Amino acid sequence: MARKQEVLAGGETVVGSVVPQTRIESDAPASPWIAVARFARRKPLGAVGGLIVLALVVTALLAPLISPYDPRQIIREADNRVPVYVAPGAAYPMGTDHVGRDIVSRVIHGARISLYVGLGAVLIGVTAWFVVGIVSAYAGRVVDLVVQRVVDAMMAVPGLIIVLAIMAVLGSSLNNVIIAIVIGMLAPVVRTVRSQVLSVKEQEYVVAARAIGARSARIIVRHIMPNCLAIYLILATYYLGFAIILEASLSFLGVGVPPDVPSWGGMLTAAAQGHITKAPWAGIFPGLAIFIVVLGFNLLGDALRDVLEPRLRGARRGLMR
Amino acid sequence: MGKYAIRRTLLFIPTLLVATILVFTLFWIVPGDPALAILAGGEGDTGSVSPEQLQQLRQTLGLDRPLYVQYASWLANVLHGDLGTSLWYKTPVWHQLKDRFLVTMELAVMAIVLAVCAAVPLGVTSAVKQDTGLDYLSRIFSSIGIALPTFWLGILIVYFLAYFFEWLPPLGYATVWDDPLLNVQQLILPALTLAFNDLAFTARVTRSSMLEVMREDYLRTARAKGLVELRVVGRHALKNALLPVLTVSGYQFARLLGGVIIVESIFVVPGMGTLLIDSIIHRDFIVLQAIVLLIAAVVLILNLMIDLAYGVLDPRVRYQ
Amino acid sequence: MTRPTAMLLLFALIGALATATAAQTPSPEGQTFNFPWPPDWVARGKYQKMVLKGITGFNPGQWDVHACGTLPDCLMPASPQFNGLVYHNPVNPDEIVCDLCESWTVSRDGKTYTFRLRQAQWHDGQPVTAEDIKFSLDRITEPGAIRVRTGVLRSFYEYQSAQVIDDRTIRVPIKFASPLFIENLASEYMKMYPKHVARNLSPEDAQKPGKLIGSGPWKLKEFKPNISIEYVRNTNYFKKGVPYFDGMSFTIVRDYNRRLAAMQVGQAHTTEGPTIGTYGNEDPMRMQRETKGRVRAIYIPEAVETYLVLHMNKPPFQDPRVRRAVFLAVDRHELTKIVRCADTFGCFGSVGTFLPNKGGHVIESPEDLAQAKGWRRPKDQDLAEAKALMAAAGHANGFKATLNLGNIPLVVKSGEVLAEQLRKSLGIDLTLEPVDRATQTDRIMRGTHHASLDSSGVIILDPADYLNQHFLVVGGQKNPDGWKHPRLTEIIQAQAREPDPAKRLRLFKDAVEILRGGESHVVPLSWGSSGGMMDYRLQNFHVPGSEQIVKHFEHVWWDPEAPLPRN
Repeated sequence: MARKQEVLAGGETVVGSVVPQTRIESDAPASPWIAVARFARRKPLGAVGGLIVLALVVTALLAPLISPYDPRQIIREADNRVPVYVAPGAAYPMGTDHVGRDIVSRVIHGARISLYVGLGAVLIGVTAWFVVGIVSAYAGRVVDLVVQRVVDAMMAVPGLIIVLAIMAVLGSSLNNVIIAIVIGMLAPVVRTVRSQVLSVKEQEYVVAARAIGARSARIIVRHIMPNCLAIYLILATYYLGFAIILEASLSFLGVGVPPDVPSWGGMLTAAAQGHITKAPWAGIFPGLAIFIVVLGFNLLGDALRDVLEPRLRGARRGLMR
Repeated sequence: MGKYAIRRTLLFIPTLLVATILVFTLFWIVPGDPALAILAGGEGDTGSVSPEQLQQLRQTLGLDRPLYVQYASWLANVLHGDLGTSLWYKTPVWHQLKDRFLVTMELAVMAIVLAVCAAVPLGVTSAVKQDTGLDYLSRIFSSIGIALPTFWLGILIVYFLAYFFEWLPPLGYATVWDDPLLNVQQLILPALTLAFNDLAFTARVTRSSMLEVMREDYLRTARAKGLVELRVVGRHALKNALLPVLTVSGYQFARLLGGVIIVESIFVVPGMGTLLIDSIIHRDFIVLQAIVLLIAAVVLILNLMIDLAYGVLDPRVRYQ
Repeated sequence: MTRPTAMLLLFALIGALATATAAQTPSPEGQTFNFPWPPDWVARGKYQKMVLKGITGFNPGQWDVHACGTLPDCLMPASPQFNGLVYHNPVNPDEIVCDLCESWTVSRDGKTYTFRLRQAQWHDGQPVTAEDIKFSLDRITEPGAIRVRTGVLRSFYEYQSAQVIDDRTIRVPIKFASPLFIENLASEYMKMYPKHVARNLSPEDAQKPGKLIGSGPWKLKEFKPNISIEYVRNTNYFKKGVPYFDGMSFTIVRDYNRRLAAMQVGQAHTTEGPTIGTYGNEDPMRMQRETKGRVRAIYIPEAVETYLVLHMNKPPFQDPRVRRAVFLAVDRHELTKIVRCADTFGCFGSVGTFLPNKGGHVIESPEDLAQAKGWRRPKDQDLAEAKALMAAAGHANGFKATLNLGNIPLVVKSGEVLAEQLRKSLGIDLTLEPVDRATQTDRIMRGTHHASLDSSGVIILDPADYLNQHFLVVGGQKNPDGWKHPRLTEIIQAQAREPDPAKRLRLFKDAVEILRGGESHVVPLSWGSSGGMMDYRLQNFHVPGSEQIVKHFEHVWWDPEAPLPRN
């Protein structure tokens, strides 16, 4: 049984040994709430991560209701004065930016953008490349060889170039950023999934299933997919954070979403190009937002992995240590 | 083993070719060609250029030939050892690249060494003391390393130094042979910035890998036999745990080279990263292709060596 | 008539004639302008055995000044090696004086200029002769050659029409008498090359560093791409006494903040240029404060203008009513205030106008603008008219459009403010797509977007500059859809030939009236300064009227005992 370990976005490894479906089912708790409570008690850091993610989702959903101003609106005070680079205070709790917009509103709406980009990239990217990975591992020599070469080539070229080129061609818009991030995820996700499936393929029960004549599709659906589901979940949480950081880097290089759209990465870039010492709040708050959210996703992913993976290996073992 | 090695080595060439074709294709899809960049794409204020002038320059530079002809001619030159002449600087590409290549490699190696030296002890401690305060601290620390964009960290460092210490590394660059002290001064900050991100990843990999290995049956046996915990960790666990770290460092090196691009421009390091950004802005595809070729070759060779080493160290892998 | 009476009459006649001649119109007839070397300031300078350290954000790719398309990465690095025939006086930049020439004479009809050259030599020791001048003039006006910035000379000088009188005298006929000939000839791009070197170089070879040699104060020592540009003093410079340093070394630092930091800690003495639009904000002033005067801020006011180009190859800006609506609705004062001003530092720009108020001509004064549609405040009337126009054109609820712009922070800021204003007042939803220069130019030429945001520097110190840049050339980047107005074209031709400044002013005012109809492709937004920084010990730098002139660094010296400025 091969154990070459693959690496996820968060640096965690997922080991190739997987147990058959039945044992997982026998561990399922009576009610989902109890499962959540149990999870929170065992993995407090993970619970913190979960709370952060929840806060993000709530902020994103309620953004138009809770934000004091329109995020793209230039504030005009009495006698037409525009408050450019005003420090945080009573009127503007996080201050204003380089053209006189309220930063609180922009940070709140930024949650929408980040969530949209993150979810979009993950739902499309992780799903698509997941399927590719499974197919590549299962379909056999030639297909596998070709896919592997493409993956290797993409990992050898600095991802930056590929992503820059894509953005330059497509133009800067939210959806194009998602496309670029999805393509940037191709290599690592396909690689990870493929090696997982490969190791599962060699499991005794799968070999046995093939021996008694089960068709490949049935084997994939009944045996391989459910185990990979846990991996999918872990990948999804990590790549959500990855997508948010990549969006920020794209903005820094000038090829992210349009500059007046309130994305945290865009705000960081504008602050970097302005003056960090003159108006540090313009960069601190979006930077903090990115950091907290990515941290949250990573902590959650960590905890999920800790919880799910021992179960993947064997029911009792995970409870030790 | 021999067959495995030969197979993997042979696959190196087509992968390299795919990488260059990929970049070439992307380059020509992007709007704006080298002629446009030369006449009107320079930064700063420009005059007005007419389509006839553009066409004239394109013909002179050979840019109006079909794409596959341009690629084939470039490839033919490369196979003869000629990396071409820069469209923007009009000097031979190798001339510029040879010094810069060493600088970037030196920076990348420094960053990885720093990262691994800090990450492995951190990860091991974190694994051995799982779920204690030390573990939480180190996990939060490594989460910071992942969640902080590299460019942001670099900018913050430059500002800190300039405003609070009134000191910045000197502007002129010296190689490690000429002036080791100056060289280290120049490279230490960008290396640390890059290492911070890499450190976070590697620490996590070490941690989870150690956790895996520590649960293994043979260790339970060792503990059951009554061996001291330190001995268990040191002798048995660490060796096996470090194998994935090796693999990860191979992938990390490729990612690091991407980060080098950003960090070099912030810290004024005359490496390939600044040249890469430049060649994109100036649409100098000759230089771009050469850089991609070099980077891809380095990464692929490195991963090849790691794969082969892994094959030697872990016999089970060979039969995949 | 008695003899004394006759004599008296004769004297009176002569006197009357003399007075009449003296009181004639200002165009010099048969006048000679002499510029002996050295002028007074040379003796005041102090030579220092040091290398001037500069910092630049640009990487030169072209070294042939005649073919240069851009300022910071073509002209600025190459210029110190060469001389022009005439140039802007470095200590009094509004004045044009002799560079390679010693004097020039204008014929009575203003159509022939005779230049007498100084005793000068090229960097390889060969003497500078009239043959070289003729060669250079012909090279600049060579038919079919790519001459982005120097092409304007073709409208004055006929290819190969110069006559070599002797080794140091050359006669240059021009097509029509014009005050702008000398002004254009004084441009930094009109450098003189040695015939014996340049004629053997292909256009591609000429672009390589070090191939073309000049007669100038500096020789190119070494160019390390992306690292530094180094110059060494020309010890045989024909202008004895200058330059005042052993060499210059410009380090290439692409990151803007890193450049500021370098000036702050004293790693460089001067920025490139020394002024360029990139520093046309409060940063030089902030550096001056932070370093307590060690770094001196320099500004050229009204050096670069940001403007909107409306593309007319497709709706909605095809409709002149929509163009006029945008022209009226933009709040230039607010935009300038946000983009060009910084609290506690003041403003580094002014409201945009159609023509630059340069060369002593004020065409659009603040009083004038206070009444003009599009500029007047409060904007209620203009906004109402704009909304009515939009409704008439069928866009009462606005529309979506794409804006093509460069990714320079200042331009992006202008774009953000512009987009917000247009969305609020007219419901026009502009999507900003900032890209690098090459992509931006490509998009303009292909007309892929609805509008573009761009900026232009002033090249010659004359209002005609913007008329030439935006409206004379049909097609090309600045006028991509070839907008013309017959009367405007007439005016552009007429002003170039008009010797009377009052009449020229009238012509310019007429031009502005036409443009204020708001139907042209240009919507002026804001003027900006060109900024830079110099160590306080660098002396004798005088701020020119444009960032495109005075680029030799031959006249500045270092005074280690200079007193630190008070504030």
